[in-house]
Amino acid sequence: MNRFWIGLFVIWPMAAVGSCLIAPQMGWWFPAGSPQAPGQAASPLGVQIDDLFHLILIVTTITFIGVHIALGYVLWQGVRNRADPNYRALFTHGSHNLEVIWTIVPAGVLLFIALYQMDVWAQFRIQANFPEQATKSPVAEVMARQFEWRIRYPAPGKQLKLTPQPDDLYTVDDLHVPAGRPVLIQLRTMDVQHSFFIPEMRIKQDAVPGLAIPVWFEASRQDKFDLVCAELCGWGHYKMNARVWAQSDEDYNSYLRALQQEQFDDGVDQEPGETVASDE
Amino acid sequence: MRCVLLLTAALLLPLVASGCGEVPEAQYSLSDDTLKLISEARSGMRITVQQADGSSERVEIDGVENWLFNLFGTPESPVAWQRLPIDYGGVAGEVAAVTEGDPSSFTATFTDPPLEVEPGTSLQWVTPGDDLVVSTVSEWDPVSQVLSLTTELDSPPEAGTQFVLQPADQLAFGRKLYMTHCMHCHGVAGDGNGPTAKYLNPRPRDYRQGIFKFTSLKQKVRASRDDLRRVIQYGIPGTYMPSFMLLSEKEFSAIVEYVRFLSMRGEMEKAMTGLLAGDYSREAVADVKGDERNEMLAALAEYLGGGFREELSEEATVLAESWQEVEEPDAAIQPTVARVEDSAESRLRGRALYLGKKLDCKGCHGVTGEGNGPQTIAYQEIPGSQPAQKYPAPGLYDAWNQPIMPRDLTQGIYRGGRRPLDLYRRVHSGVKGTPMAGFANALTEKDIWDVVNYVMSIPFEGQQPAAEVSDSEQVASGKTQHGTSGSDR
Repeated sequence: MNRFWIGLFVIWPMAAVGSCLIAPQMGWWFPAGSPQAPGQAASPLGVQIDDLFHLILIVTTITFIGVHIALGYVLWQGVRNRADPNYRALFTHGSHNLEVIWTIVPAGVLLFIALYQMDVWAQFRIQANFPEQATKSPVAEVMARQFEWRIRYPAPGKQLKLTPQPDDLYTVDDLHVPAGRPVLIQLRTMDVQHSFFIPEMRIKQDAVPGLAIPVWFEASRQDKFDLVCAELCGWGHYKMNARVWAQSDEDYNSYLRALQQEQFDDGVDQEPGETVASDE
Repeated sequence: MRCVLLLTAALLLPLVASGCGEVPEAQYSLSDDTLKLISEARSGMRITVQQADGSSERVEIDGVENWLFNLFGTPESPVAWQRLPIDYGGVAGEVAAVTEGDPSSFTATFTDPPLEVEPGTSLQWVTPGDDLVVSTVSEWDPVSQVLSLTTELDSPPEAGTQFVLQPADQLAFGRKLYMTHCMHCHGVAGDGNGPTAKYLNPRPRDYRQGIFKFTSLKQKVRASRDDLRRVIQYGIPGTYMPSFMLLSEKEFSAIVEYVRFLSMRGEMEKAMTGLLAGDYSREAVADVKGDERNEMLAALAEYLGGGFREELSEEATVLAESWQEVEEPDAAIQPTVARVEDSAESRLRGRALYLGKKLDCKGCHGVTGEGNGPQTIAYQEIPGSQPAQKYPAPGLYDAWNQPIMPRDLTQGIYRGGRRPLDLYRRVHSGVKGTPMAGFANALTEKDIWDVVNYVMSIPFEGQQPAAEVSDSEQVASGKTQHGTSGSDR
């Protein structure tokens, strides 16, 4: 039975390392990415977040394997020693030096991680560090609601305001943003907590009732991305998904103009009666 | 140790073996009115008929439930009743020539010939009456174009007879999607009474009256495929109906057809029950006893076997026509005059109409548009009640007898869509099934646009119209934040 336990303790770290090694090939790793770079984050910040993830993965892998090797060794020794009828167990009251070492080393590792990630965290979450390009004109307000994402854009050429404006443009489950530069959305919720999650960009932010939370991201390629809710928000949580379209400036602008045309449609084919000031 | 392992295995094994159990088969529930019928009218009866030669025979007479089953099937196997304008799917074909000496096979022509037909595929004959004739395909040879059936037909089909292979495959697909996305609110039968419905206000739509609130069509006309699709695609803001934007074109069409199917099924049920409710509801025959009851049942049997059948057929024709009408171009509300420019004058004219006696918008929506007009606290008459009765509680009610509030126009949330065209349609023909009436006859098109301009300005009271702002903006020194006042803090 003892050798069974030793085997078990050895198999798990081996299985864990093995599955980690084959994961990227099997598509078990990060969300899709482009065909050229599968598994690569679709935003520059996402790449940095992935690097942090990899760093922590390396640290924990080394610790994990080390602990299991030590555990296996101790058990193995125990089994061998037991075979010797004259062997007596060694009694120890502990070692002050060892305790200091295994306190200071992990503390040092944790402190290193804490300091090392601050830069990325600050870029992602501290408003003072948001890219100016993103903050100077937010692209849209994303209003989460059971179970959909309602989106409000300012009229082309106008600034987004916290309160709705007569010339605002509305869509649902369909967020268009310009690709290749940082953009900012104001995230709100109409009812319960939701979470704005674009897996391919590694962007996740809770939407909290009563708050308008600015979230910035940058799509590094023109593509269609999934937007899902990452906070269990009710029975229809699973169906709360939407699309994010990262487009060239040209496509993005023509999308907004088409949306404007559609939204102020009066159903009469000739010259639309509504003239909305568009001063681009 | 071994003991623990064995015990764990013994506990887990039954769980694994049983799985989650059988999923109960979905069933269409009957409407409340149908349940009020006596059981013979509802579920049919068996009577003994004396033949001319003195022998007697047991004959089954169909009731409402049997008719519904025959014409619409069950959720698991829906029936494609070709009388109704529903795109059930399937491959349409025609008999070209019957094979000599073999009444169970014939050459067939298809507009879009299938390469392969699985043996066992069902084939439905297009018949002029309400009877469904379904055969099963045993073989299809795409080269010689000979289609063989597993059973012989009573009489060999004539050349030119039409049929549908795999009838109702789109409907079955729609049903699958409906059960995944819609059923938990709208119910298996589309009665707006699914498991989550009781937590919702407003209640999910009950399709069985054929009334849909937000359509692009004139009063009394049902809803076009496009209207239904729009609601599914964009949801209804301000209600629990979410957007299903990510479904594919094929999925949208399939769900729309299934909703139409459920709606027509519900309307047929309503029509059938309506024919029987007067004389054969439990309430109507509560005092009929003994011989009188037997006479009454005999009359019912005669009616169900004869007159009822004919009237049913007429009802189906009317229903089919009313659902065909929805796709006709002149059913749509189509403004011919472009939207009046959204100026201060237009808004003032719209406001005058809003407050005026002719439309009396303020009666429900209130002077300020907050949806708190005096009608919301008045006792309302139950429509169609004889003698006139009033609802027990004050306030407005919809066609489903649910209390309903007029829209708060200051919110800027428009359930039927926020395009000027959508609001035009609301003012033109109202919101179906609700006290919101249409004012097409009372207003000119320009008047309607004035009202639309005013209604669209209500959430932004105090702000000037866009056209006038942009004039003054050119004077202001390039500031993007234009002059807002009043409501915008």
